[in-house]
Amino acid sequence: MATAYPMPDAAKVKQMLGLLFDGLEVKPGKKFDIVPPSGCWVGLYVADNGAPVAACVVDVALAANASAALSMLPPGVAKDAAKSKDLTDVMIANLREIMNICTRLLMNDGSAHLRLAELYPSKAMPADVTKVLGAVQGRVDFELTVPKYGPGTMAVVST
Amino acid sequence: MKIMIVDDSAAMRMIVKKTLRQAGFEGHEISEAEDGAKALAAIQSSSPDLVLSDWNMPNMTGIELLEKLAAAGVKVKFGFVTTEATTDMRTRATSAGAKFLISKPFTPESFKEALGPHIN
Repeated sequence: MATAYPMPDAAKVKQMLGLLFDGLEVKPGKKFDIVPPSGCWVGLYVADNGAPVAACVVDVALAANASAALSMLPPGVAKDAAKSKDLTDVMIANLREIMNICTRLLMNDGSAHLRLAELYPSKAMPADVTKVLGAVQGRVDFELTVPKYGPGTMAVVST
Repeated sequence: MKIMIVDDSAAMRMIVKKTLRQAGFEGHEISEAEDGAKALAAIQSSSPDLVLSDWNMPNMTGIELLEKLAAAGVKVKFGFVTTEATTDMRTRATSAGAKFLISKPFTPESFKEALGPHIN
């Protein structure tokens, strides 16, 4: 089904996020649950009029691994965070920046503009996020492996 | 040369500093600010030679910062390091007086190319 924004493939995710994480591996992934108990994190993207239009969702493992890797926190910190499903403030700030960069996965010169509005843990997803996730026209899932840290999954969804 | 990095992400400020070194721009005095409002005050008091600013930040965005600096008559070389990479945003940045726009994520090569003409 046609989406308002271009959906990325694995090559684009690798090209973009590989600049942040040297040696990043990306391949198409299986659909995973985006529900509050999963511990996933959701970056909500809005159009210029403020309307929610897309989201990037990462499972707790990728949230922990990528956010720790961005500022080279010890891999053990990521493992503890994934186990407890609880990121530190530094990791949350890092994940927000990663979600900010992921806006570029959904834009090209011919597409409409969007920006990151907020980052939410799945346990605190507000109605805006639930609405976007419930009205998804397109979804692509990926398996990522962050060198020295570990794997995780990501979904990019668009209305 | 005095260079100010403005970004609400501490990790990104660190990555920008590292990339400056990797691009061969070493030995400069680097300062940091975490949003446009703090940068505005810091630029007016410390007069950096070059500002590398994010676009989307809380309190004051990068483009608002650039516009306020121009309105205040502050002369400083200003460029963006941002996820805002569309043609429209590049045009808006240039119209406001930005010297360059480096899109995130970036490489040392993109820093060399954009910053070479502006760093001693």
